[in-house]
Amino acid sequence: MRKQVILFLTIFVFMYMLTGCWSRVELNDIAIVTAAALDLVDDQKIQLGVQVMKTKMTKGTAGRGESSDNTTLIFSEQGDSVMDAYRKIQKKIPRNLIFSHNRIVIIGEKLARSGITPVIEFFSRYRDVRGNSYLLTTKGKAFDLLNVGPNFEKFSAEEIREEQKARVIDSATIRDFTYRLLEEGIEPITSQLQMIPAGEKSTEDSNSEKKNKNNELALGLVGVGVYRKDRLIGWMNAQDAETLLWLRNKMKDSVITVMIPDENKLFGKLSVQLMKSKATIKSKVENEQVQFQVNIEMTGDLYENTTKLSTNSSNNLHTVQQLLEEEVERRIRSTVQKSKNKFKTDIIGFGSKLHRQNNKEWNEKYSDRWDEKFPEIKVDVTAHFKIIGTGRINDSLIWEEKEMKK
Amino acid sequence: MVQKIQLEHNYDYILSGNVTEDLNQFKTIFDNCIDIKFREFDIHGARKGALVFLSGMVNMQTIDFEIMKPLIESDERLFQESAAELNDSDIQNIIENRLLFSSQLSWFEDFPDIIEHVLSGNVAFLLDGLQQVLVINAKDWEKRTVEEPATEAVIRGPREGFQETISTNISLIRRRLKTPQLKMEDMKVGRLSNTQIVITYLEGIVDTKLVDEVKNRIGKIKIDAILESGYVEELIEDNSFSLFPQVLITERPDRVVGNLLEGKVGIIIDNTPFVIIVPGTFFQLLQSPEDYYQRYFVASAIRMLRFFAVLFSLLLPSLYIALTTYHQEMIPTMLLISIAASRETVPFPAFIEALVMEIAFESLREAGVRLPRPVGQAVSIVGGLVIGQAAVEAGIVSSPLVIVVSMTGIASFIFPSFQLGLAFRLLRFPMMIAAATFGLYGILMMLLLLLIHVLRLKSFGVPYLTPMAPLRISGLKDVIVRASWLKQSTHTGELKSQRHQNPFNRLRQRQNK
Repeated sequence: MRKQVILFLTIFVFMYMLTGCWSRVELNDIAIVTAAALDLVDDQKIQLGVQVMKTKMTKGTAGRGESSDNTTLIFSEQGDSVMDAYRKIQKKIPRNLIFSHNRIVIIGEKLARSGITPVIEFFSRYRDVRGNSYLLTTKGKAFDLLNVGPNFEKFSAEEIREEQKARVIDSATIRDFTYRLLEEGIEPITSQLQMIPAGEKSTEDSNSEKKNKNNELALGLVGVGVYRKDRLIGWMNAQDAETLLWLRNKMKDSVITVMIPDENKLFGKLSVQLMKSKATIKSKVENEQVQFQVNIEMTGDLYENTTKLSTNSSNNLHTVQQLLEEEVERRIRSTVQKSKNKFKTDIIGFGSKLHRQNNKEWNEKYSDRWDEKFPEIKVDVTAHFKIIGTGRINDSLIWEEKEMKK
Repeated sequence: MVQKIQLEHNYDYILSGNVTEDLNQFKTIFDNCIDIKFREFDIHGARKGALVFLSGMVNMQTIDFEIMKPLIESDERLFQESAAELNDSDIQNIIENRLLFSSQLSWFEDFPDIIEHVLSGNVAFLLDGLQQVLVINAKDWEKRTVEEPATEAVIRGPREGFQETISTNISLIRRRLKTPQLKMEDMKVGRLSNTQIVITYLEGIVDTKLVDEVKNRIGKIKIDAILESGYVEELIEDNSFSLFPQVLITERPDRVVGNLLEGKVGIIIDNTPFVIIVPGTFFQLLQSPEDYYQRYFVASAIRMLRFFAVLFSLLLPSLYIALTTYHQEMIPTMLLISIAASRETVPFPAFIEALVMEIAFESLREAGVRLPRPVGQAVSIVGGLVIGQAAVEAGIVSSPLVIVVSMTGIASFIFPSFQLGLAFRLLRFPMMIAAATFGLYGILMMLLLLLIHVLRLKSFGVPYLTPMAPLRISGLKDVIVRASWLKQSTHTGELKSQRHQNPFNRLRQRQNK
């Protein structure tokens, strides 16, 4: 009995010694960082802006909560490093900043063009930060984006995260970015975040300063930032960003629209929602020439048809499928073309495919000089499209029965 | 502790055969006992007789019409002629066979035996010339009717519960097992109380070593009085330095019978409606007799619910403390924000907050048990309003914590065994301290300590976590789920059950300290 008590006390005392520092923080003493913005300012200093959740008790029940205008606070400081700036912010506010709920990290163009490794370093090393925060790049200053209020969620960063999760365009978390940075034969990208008028939130790449009546601004994903190593070298539009998702087999939800040309009197448009998409990339080395065969198999539902084609007939569907295949092939070729010739950076990851499939050649010839060799590769694209459903109605409603092509 | 009380009277008196003399001896022993009645009478002027009994514990009707009347109205010749011709056994024969109408009669010579019988409500009949006393059963006293047990209510199942009279309790069990294999053995414990304890088991199913061990342990009890089964439980359990109940306590005869069928031993104690069943195991304490009466899918689902309830009642407040003070990153962001917002005005650390609320809740609960029923309602209203709403609005506690505390409270009511619920209620507090000092690490450490302790426990040689540890696959059918009766082996093949099924055959002798 006494022995047990002594043993218990000993264990109890040693338990205290085994722990490191006491990391106890009450909820009243933390400030939850929801978004961070990083910019390069003059003197090569880094400006860190943080969006902090305001956890002030809204009096009474949830129904009587305050207006959503000021649910977040924004702090900013400049410093020699991210940590330096962070510490300076910390001095200004009475609560501990915690980064563990950080949703997004936005990087300004200037910083991105000068290389973001110093930034990524902090966000990978600091123990609070999660690898699954999304990394975003923006044209202009990142800090300005923090000021844009949310439309639906409690704070704007959550909205962006939701958009990223919907996978409409290719995205990268800090972990993905680091992975692609370190992996041979693939270069990183991030989504591009821009301030756009809320009224006409468009995914088209536009710099228009046009604002809607209410002058309200919203944040929108408009494309991807293309990187070589850790430096930003250019932008791709939303369509290319979507194509990147197809190639990486990350597609969740995508729409392709094709036109039937005027000449055969069937004029109109067809929109198809993709259900499944599976891309396989095969590499081959022949006579010093690296070749890739991209096969993409897609299935989708037809959801909009303004043509005179009746969707009852399999012949017609066959025609549509062919059109779709051509469209998919065209888009993939165009994206590959941009990656190969315009940016000369392998964001699709052909290099890593070669690395896996032709390991020997890769190690001997291409491992060191993939940057130079990449623009010289040849890419063949074949698409197979299958329409599996045509929605609730058969023929288009706008045409007379007899006009339809059966 | 057993008090050393010297019994004043010597019980060595030997009956003389002279009623006046013997009665005087009774009168000295029962001096100042107003409830003892003596009735002296002459039978046809020939012999003196006397009755000794406790008023209030006997049926007066029986004494008047079935003992007194036949004796006094008996044929004169029986006694007058007797003096010379009839010997003792003849007289005994006449009384037994021709005079008295009682079905339970016996002759005693030993004075202590007679005293004991008188004290337990029998009538003693003394007759001149006989050195033996006739003890006649005329027991009858005020007793509660058989009611539905308050602590173990069921939706479906018998509504009978034990009550304070042991003979009724025994009959409740016997009615459910009409077989000579059901054995009942009598013991007397308590130097002053002389409480009757009946050990019951099913021969052929039970491990005989277990029965011997139970008898052995009960025989070793040295105590002045047994007022409730708790005394016996504490004196026979393997490890009294433990929060966990190691025997099963029940008020339900069907539950006792169910356990007897599993090869366990029941200990029925006089003057209490609670029957002890040994050996008790942890998972058994989480079972309700109703599990066996409801459809087995439903019963299995409810059993799983109970396992969650165990975790909830043990861990919920401590998880709240650990997560909010150490591991904010583990709470989903939106939840964290609302918790943080409601904690904004609370001046205390989460631990103090939780502790205050838990203590308040426990006090309310205890008050609810002790207070008379009409007042109890007032307490629950005050508790519900004050603790629930006013405290939150006053900014003393946060509303998520109120949810945590009430969830914990509800979870701890799910325990079918009140004793086990008490253990977890108490364990919650060290758990909270561990969470407040070490976060999740502390909780894990406490859980490990708890697990080590529980694994070490044994009840009458049976490991406490049987059949989980040591693992018995066949036993699992009745632990997390309740398998259909078709899939569970029954005890109809009795000896087979002893070989294969009985989980208690690892019985070991208790080490006497």
